[in-house]
Amino acid sequence: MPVLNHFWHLMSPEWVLVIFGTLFLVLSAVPGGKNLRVGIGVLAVAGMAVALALVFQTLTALGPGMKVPVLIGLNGDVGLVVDPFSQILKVIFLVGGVITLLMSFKSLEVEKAWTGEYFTFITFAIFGMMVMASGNDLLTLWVGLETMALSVYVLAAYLRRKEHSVEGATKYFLLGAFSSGFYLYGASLIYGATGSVHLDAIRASLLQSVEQGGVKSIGFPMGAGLVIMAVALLFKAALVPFHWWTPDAYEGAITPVTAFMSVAPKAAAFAMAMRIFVVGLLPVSHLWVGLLAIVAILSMAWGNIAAMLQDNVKRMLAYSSIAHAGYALIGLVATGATGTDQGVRAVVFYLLAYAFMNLGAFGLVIYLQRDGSAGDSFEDFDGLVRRRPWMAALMIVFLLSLGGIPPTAGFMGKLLIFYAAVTAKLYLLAVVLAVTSVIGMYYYFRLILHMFLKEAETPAEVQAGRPLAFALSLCGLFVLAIGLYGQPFVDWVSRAALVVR
Amino acid sequence: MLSYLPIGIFVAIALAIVPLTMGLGWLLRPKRYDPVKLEPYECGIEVHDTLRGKVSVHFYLVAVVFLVFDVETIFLLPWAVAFDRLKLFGFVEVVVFLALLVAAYVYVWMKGALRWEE
Amino acid sequence: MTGIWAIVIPAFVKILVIIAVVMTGVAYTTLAERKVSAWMQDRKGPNRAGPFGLLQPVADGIKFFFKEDITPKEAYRPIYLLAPLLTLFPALITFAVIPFGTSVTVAGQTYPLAIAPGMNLGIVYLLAISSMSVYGILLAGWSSGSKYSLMGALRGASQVISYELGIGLAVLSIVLWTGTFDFNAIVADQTGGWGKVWFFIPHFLAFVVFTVSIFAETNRLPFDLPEGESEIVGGYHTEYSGLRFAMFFMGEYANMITASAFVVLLFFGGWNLPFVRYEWFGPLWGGLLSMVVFFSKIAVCLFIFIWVRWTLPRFRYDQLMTLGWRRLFPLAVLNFVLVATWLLLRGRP
Repeated sequence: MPVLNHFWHLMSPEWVLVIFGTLFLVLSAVPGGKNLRVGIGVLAVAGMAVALALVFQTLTALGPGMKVPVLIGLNGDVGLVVDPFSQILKVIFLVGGVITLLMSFKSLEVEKAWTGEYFTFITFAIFGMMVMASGNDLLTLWVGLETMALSVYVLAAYLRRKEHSVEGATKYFLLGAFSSGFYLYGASLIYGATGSVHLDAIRASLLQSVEQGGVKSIGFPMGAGLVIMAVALLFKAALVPFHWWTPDAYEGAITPVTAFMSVAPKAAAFAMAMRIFVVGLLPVSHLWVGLLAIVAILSMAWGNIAAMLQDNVKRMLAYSSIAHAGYALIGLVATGATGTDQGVRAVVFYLLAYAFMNLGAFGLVIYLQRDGSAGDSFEDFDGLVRRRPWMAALMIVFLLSLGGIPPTAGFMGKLLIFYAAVTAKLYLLAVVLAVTSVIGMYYYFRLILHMFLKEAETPAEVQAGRPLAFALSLCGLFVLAIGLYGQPFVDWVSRAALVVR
Repeated sequence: MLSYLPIGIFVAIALAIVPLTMGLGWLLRPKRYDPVKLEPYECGIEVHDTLRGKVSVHFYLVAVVFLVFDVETIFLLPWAVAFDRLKLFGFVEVVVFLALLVAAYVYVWMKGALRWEE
Repeated sequence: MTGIWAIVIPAFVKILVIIAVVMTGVAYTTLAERKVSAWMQDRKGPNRAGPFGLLQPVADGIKFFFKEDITPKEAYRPIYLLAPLLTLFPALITFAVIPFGTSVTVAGQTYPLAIAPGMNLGIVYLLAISSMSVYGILLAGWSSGSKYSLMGALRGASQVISYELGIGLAVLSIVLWTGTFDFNAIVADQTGGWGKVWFFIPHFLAFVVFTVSIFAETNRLPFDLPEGESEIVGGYHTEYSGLRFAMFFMGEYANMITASAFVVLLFFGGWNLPFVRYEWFGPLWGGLLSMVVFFSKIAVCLFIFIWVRWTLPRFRYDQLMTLGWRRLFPLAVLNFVLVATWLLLRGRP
């Protein structure tokens, strides 16, 4: 008898999002003017705020280290769990969603592209991510992944009259569909090797074989399945060498969607990867630690180097997001090497910090967006300090944070990652992290120099609008708060625990 | 598995019938070809315009919408057989599932994907 | 005769019999179509070949063999040659799961009157195989390289898939009601007990949806737009001649027979008659009688197919799609929800 047990109310944030998303879908087919669409947008913000409140409520209801099974299958296998890890990540998704929505109002206004579907897809994408954070078996996770991915494909192609947008979205869609296939293939191999798709059962089976026959007894199908599945997850998180879609898709998409894509789906991919690798595959960590370490090094190096060569702010931030994913991956490697939760916590903290600073940076691009220009060239930032000192100050905060300079959130995030790497004796990774961060300074400072030293020839008239201004202030506030007084955030994040003993 | 064997035999026979018939026909029929015979049929007039023109996007929409609802039916089949055992939980699940699909149906309808009259 | 041969040999015999019966059925359905049409229009119909024209199908068949096989120069040859086979093949193999009677006992051995009697997924198989027929239509029309063919194929494909939903949902409510995919069990649920009636009474909505849908599935009037001869010549098989055309023809009539069998099994009690038990007639004659009853019911259905053809005019394309998507589909979903609710409240009968 499959049951949603009496903890089903712990899924209430998900219910809320599904109900709102369905409502938006129907509403978006109703013929009506712009006002109706704006109304849907406001309703979307409200819905996510409600979901956010519910996530916080469930988070406080959960004791430390508690893991509540919510959906239980016919044979007692757990399909969905709610634990502090999942709830903290849901907070990140929802905060990212709310900020994205607030930023969207201006972009949609400038592009004259108001539709209800936009909000529907963002809502469903976040619902998919929440399933990815909570899923406890390979198939449930996949369903979440696809719900998210299909929504984001459409969002990436949102400006369907623009060639750039369609080109990037097509690349993203084709490669994404391919990587979904990879995921399923890897999952089927793992299923074949361990006899289950449930992470707990996979772990039990692997532990048993390791105890009986030692590490050598793990057969080829398991290793192959692991590597193939890792490819799919690394693709979704946009890590080198599976990052080729990233710059094009990010540049082509409407900027709030780019901001969203660089934060929320990436965090969701990390959540899923951590859930699978730490809960399911920790007994065979020797198979994946080296692999992920190489990917992390490549991502940090190539992401930062390629970002230096860009002359478009969105492309630069796209490559920088690849580098940041590389930094975050170190945390997962550290957990694999040590078998403690320290690495996982560092990753979660990094994702939280990164959400605020990256959304903020993209928010400034949206701020500079105007009719006929996306505001994403370096020249658009010329002389911003004199034209709009407050906005320039915010941008400088975000860029410093992305560069990892105190007193900002980015610094705290990198510090935790660095600390986790050193604790796990991953000195090479720690050194690469430090060196590539210095390289990264170059291009962040290049943009700051544009704001200070260059003078705009014909300064464009740009307006922020209240929602965008509010979103930017929120991002700036949190970036500084986490940077200046990070302890409450570190404590909060350290409730997340995945390693099963 | 043995109960499926007759189906295999049937498939083999059905596959064999076709080449046999065609082979017999090949032996019997006349073969007097002429380039005019091989023109596409257009009620006797000269062929004009290309064939590979644009086709209404409606056909594509119908195919996509069909896919969604056909998969729905396929999902419901095993549930229908296990209805007794799933009871209220299964019923509620399916009602939720249907509600989502009905929302999609309403959306498709209101967007005009099911309208053919121009 | 032991082991595997005990399955293979009876199966082989039954398959040959069924193919013979179906092919003859197809041939005489074409004759019936012309004769009935003639009566309805106060004509005589074919009456030269044999008494009452009874040899007309034979003459037609022979003629097909002596007709040239033409591949137009615009056609894409491999698919063009394959498409007719893709129409006939599924039409034939659907009969693998259709039970056509109870069982006969010959020389102490009991043989169930079905080709694959142990197969308990009959409905799934039938739905799966019958939906393959759309490939034949689409590929034939596309590969012919003719405008009429392409037009017919597009119309045909979107019509067939649209009405497949109606069929699927109507069948679903029967599956829900009986809890099985097995035709024998569904037939058994309709007769031989208190309160057990043919399903077209309790499932009237499903019956209506299903019947309308199979007219569209088999491209029969009033839904014969894929081959509406007054608009697009022959539709997707405009370019075909000789035996390949005959295969489309046979495939379509075989599909009509399958569809009739489907209706009879789901809604009209299969081979059973009210108040009649085949045990009365002994194991051999009872079985044969059940077979006769079953095929008679199919014949009645086929007659209705023809009757409708001369009663209702052809739909316009937008009316067709409106009926399928905006009338039948909601009706089918509604019916399905009603059945599910009823079962939840009252339990399975």
